[in-house]
Order: sequence, then structure tokens, then C-alpha cells
Amino acid sequence: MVSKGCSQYQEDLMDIYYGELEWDVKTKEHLLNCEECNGYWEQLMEMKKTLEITSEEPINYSEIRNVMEKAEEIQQKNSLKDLFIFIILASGFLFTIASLVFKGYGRSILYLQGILHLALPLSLPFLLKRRLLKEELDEH
Amino acid sequence: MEEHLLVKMAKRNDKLAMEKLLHNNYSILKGYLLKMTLNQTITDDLTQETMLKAILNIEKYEHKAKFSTWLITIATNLYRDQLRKDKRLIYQEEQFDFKDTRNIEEDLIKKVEYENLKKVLKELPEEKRMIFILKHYYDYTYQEISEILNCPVGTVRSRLHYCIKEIKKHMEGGENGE
Ligand SMILES: [Zn+2]
Repeated sequence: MVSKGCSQYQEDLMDIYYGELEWDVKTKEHLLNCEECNGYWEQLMEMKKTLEITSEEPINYSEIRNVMEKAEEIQQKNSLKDLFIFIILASGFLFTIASLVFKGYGRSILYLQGILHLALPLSLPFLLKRRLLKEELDEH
Repeated sequence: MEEHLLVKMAKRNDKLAMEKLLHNNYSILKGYLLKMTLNQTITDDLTQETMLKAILNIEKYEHKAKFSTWLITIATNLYRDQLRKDKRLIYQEEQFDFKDTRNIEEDLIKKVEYENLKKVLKELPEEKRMIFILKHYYDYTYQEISEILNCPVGTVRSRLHYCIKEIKKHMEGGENGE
């Protein structure tokens, strides 16, 4: 195995410093014998002090309150929009049915509905079976 | 109350639970953004935007990571979007002027700490700075950082090493190129 260079040791030292790697004998030994890497390690320690932030951000309750209210406004607007779209779609659908009945398709629509009402429950066992199969597959 | 319970309640549209979650995580979120953007105005805007997005998308939050981690992820993405839209943001200079505590002395300490931090970190490119901050101040693992920033673990490690080299240079007084 090719012996490690200083830059690799320094990367390892960074990992150790940040708790991503455990100390090992070789690194410890190198640190004792290498001035450069020793300096690097000391600088890591010093960096902690240099960049220390002791102050904490105070909680701004009114700001949070405002954001909560803004979110509620948006949610209300969105639900109004959904309701509006539903009304448009529903009245469009009713209008289509009404005009079809008006044109004399009333009887066919009734038959179609009858067939659908009878056929849908018949498809239920198949749907259930498919779902059970899928659940079994997911388990394995 | 435990976080996962609050999350469960917030998902069922419990406003008080949502508000409590935000109270509990406000300081972390704001502190992260302040270190990240080194700018008070951008921090205030992004803090609000992040909270708003979190409230509106709470049902999408999977309780795999801590709630604060989720907020940090949202904040990071919002900041990235802003940087993409407006590159000048990076160079926007602003003196820190904290007035949010009632204690003048505390504000002053905070100002000194952040001005100091700015001197050291402002030369680091944003994408690299994010990694350094997440590791140095929040002690996330390389794996977690790679998930938050959506980049490979190897990149996280090499960029962190780059940051430390740059900070080291700065600490030795050698601000190269100036
Ligand atoms: Zn060495």
C-alpha cells in the first residue's frame, strides 16, 4: 500500500474533527511527527473559537402569527377557487345532460345508467382480488 | 409535546400545533439563514417565505428527518432560487444592525460575532458555504448534508475541505487576490 500523504491525513483529520471518522493509530502517530498536520489540527481547534456564534435568534411571535394568517388567507382563496371550478364543471355537466334529453336521448341515457349501476358492483370482486394480490406482492 | 405528535396534529389542520412547531424551530431556521446569506433583509424575507411554504405543504412532510431539517431544506432551496434569479444578491453589502433583543449589549455581541463571521465566510461560494455551515454549526452528517443539498457525499466532503482551506488562509491573514 502506498503511504498516505499529508493532504490525505488532513482530510482524515477534518473527518475526525467533525465526528465522521474515529482516531486510528497511524493518524495519531503522523500527527505527533508532522509539523504541518499538527498545525492543521490546531487551526481546526482555533477555527471553532474564531467562528463562534453565541447569540441566539429570539423568537418573533408576531411574525409567526402573521405568516399563519397569510397561509390561512391563501388556503381560503384556494378552497374558494376549487368550489368555483366545481360549480362550473357541475353546471356544464347538467347542461349537457339536459340538452341531450331535450334532443330526445333521454331514454338511452336512462338505459345506460341502468347498465352502469348493475355492472359496477359486479366488477367489485375483481378489483378486490387485484388489490389483495398487490398487497401480497408488496409484502415480499 | 413531542415533535412527531405536533406534526401529526398539524397535518390534521391543527393551527395551534403548527404554530408551536414554528415557535420551536424559528431560532434554528433564522440562525441558519443569517449565517448563510450574511444579510439581514434577505434573512427576514426568506424566514417568512420558508414558514409559509412549510404551512402550506405540511402534508407533504415525511417524518423521516427532524422538522428543523425540513425547514432548512426548504430555506436552502428558496435561497438557491433567489440566487439563480438575481446574481447581484451575492454582492449585496449590508451592515448588520440587530435590534431584535431588548438588551443593547446582547445586540452588540451579536453584531460583532456576525460581522466577524461575514469577514471569513463571504469569500466562500454559496454552494460551498452551505456545506460548511450545515456541518460546523448544525453538526449534520455528510450523508444528511448530501440529502439536504441533493448532491453526492463525496462532493460534500471535498467541498468542506475546500472551505476549511480557505478559512485557514484567511485566519493566517493571507486574503489572496486582494
Ligand atoms: Zn503531515
